[in-house]
Amino acid sequence: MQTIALIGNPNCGKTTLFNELTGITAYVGNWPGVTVEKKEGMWNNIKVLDLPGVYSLSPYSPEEKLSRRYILDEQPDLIVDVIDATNLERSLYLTSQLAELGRSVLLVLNMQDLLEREGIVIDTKRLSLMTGCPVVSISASKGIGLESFKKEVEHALKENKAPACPLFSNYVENLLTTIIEDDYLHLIPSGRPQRWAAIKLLEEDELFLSSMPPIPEAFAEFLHQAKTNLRLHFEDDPEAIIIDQRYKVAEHIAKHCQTKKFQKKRFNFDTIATSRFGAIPLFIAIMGAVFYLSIGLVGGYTTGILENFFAYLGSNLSILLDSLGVFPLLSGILIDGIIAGVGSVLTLCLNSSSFSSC
Amino acid sequence: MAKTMDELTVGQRAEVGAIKAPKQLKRRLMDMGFTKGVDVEVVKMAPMGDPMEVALRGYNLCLRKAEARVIELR
Repeated sequence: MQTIALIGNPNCGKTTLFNELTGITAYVGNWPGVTVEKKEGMWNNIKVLDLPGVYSLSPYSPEEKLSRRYILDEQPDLIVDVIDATNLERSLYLTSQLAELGRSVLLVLNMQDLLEREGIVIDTKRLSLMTGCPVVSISASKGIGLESFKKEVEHALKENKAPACPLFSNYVENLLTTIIEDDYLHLIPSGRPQRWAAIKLLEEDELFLSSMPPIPEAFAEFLHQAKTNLRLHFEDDPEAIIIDQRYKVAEHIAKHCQTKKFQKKRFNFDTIATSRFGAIPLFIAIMGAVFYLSIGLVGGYTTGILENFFAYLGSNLSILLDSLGVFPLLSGILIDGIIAGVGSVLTLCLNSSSFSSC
Repeated sequence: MAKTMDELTVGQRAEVGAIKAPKQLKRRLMDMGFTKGVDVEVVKMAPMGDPMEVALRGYNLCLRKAEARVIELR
């Protein structure tokens, strides 16, 4: 049985797509970080995995570690990289890391319906050419494009072709080539591509280094020298240089595949509601209106009715009890205690319930 | 001392320089797109001035003042 893994930035629609495919109603929250563990489901005899949302595959956060370990160790047949199409550049930064893992990758441009509103056009053919991955546009929440998604998945599973690795500047590329030539690279566990390993060596990735035997002295000396040269050349540490190189690739691809037809209108209700000086006065005004509505308008009306009802009940009961000659202490408990007490509590309850329902 | 991002006010633009933070935070901020030379603009400030919202690389990001303080500008 073949396996596909959904991965992408937080809040890009992975879980919506996952639910759409598998019919499992996994909880989708409208905030990032909802999927902390991976979820599994079946779709057309293919195992589908929903991985947590990540911006990167760094060795630091638990979600990133989980996603990375899963792809490297379990080797899904296809990585489905879900991209929030309105945020292409940052999504492609993650793609640049996925492309190095040696698995085939399908790019899914999600939220296609929002693109029009934002005035963005994406040239999918060009995107496919520049990344070396097949590209398909969908809108998971509206269920648009799922037929072509299915076709692309089947096609990609059959082809099983790894994408083009992002190319860095010549200086870094030459360095990577030299590192790959070293015998030490033969020791990397299966399923880990050499280029990826060479990059991890430069980045001093803790997770990778802990999975490897100790580096022989000569090679360690060589790496140390290489990293010192890198620092001098780029005036930053190797990990930062690699990130910078990746973003340059993402920037380049986004620039060539994406055109903005118009600048999104930037003034709306949020502009006032979340502004520095508007927010708190607006908050007070809304709370005041709610208070006035519930306690004043609605509350005044319902309180009147209830009070009248209990006063009527009390006076009628006292006439009845008097005529029966009930002991005054007992009638006092009934009328002034129970009826008046329950009456005022009920009135208060009604007030607060109308307040909270506002 | 270089100017840092928390010193910007709404509407101001700048170019990101070095990030002076522990490894993990530095990686996180860079993963979010704060690489050298990238253009940032402060879009909004919370009522008490913290956190702040900045626009970079075509998207908006909310940052605590403490995090903005480690991002140097040039």
